Amino acid sequence: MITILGREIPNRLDELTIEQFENITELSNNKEIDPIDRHLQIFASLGIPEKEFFDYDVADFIELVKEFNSSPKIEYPTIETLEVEGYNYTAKMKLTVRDTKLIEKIAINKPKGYVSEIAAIMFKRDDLTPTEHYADAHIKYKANLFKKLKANIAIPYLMFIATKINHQVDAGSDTPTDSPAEAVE
Amino acid sequence: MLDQTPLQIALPRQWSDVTVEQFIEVAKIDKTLGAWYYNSEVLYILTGEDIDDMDIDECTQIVSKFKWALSQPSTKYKHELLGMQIKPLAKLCLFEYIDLDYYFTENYVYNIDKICAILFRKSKLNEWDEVVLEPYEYDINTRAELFLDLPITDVYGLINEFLKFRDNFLKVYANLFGEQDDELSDEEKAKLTPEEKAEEEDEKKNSKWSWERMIYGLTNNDITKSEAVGALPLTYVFNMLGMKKELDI
Repeated sequence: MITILGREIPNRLDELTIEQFENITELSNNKEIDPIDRHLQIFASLGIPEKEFFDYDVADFIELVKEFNSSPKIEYPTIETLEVEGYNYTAKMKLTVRDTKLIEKIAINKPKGYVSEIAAIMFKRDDLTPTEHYADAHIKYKANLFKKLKANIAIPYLMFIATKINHQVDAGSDTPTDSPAEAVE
Repeated sequence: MLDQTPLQIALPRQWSDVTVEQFIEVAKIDKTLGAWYYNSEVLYILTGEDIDDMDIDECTQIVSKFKWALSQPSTKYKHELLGMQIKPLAKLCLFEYIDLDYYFTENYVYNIDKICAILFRKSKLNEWDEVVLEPYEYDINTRAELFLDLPITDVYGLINEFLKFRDNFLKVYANLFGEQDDELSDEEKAKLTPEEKAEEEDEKKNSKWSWERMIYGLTNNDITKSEAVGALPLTYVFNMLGMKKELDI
């Protein structure tokens, strides 16, 4: 946590919720807003209204931003089991083709809550069948539940998925063409 | 020849192991849904195995065996299949060409079975010992089904053969086809005057009914003669149209 204008603001993955992390990521990726405005909006999403910075010195604000962004690099341990609202969830560092297809669909559409949706795919409720687990409505419901959890739960899985998919990208992206043959003998 | 992987899935090893039906189904996969969706659908179509629960590392091993699928099928094709022989493109009749043109324009890969159904014909010797091809009077859809189980390599080269023929045909009779205007964008359409809009609508209607209009004209507005006109050789019909246009008769 860092203190800004007398408020404790989360800036580490084990302090931010997945929802806050998603908001910050979305704002950080928005290149249409300038860096100052972007960080005003980030701080607003964490609970400090923009108007409270109106009288703030720009140089001091830049220092604040640096401090906010300079959270220590921590190796967060992988969390494999969770209990949320009375149910147990288990995840493994393993991707099936079905998991990957769903994650790829999320990556293509890039919905705002993509981190929680990916976490919802990776963490499977112990008492449900695979059919129930992969049902669209269940994934959405679970993604909503997981938004309130800390981001460090999801990040190791995101890193794992990114590494796996990047590793496979050559094999996966080379789709055959269906254009006609060029010459006929 | 199928390849047995360590995962006990029988995989095709080359295009000749892939049937026309499988090729069409693979072409119909929505590639915008992602590479893994595509891979799993291809594997399901080519092997019949549902691989959704397979680890992606194992799946990657299998996909790597499909590198041959990145190239196109053989550029050759067979001239005789299923006891039928191919009709020379230069001898196509008007209706045959119109149907081929329709299937090619719609999607020549999805319709390759129907294209084969038009081009491959039963034949017999006539009383003069000359080969006579069956008339174009059979049901295309029923005939097309016969080609679905054949290797794609038997027929794939036909696509290019017809495209070359059509390209040359359109060049030779360019004065009869006129120039194809590109579709206007929404922005361009918004700038059109009411007169230009009406003209564009007329052009669209003419384009939609171009073949029907041509046949209607050739039969002197007597649609009972359509079948007879449709059975005329394509080049003869277009030579006559060319003559009519040049002599303005």
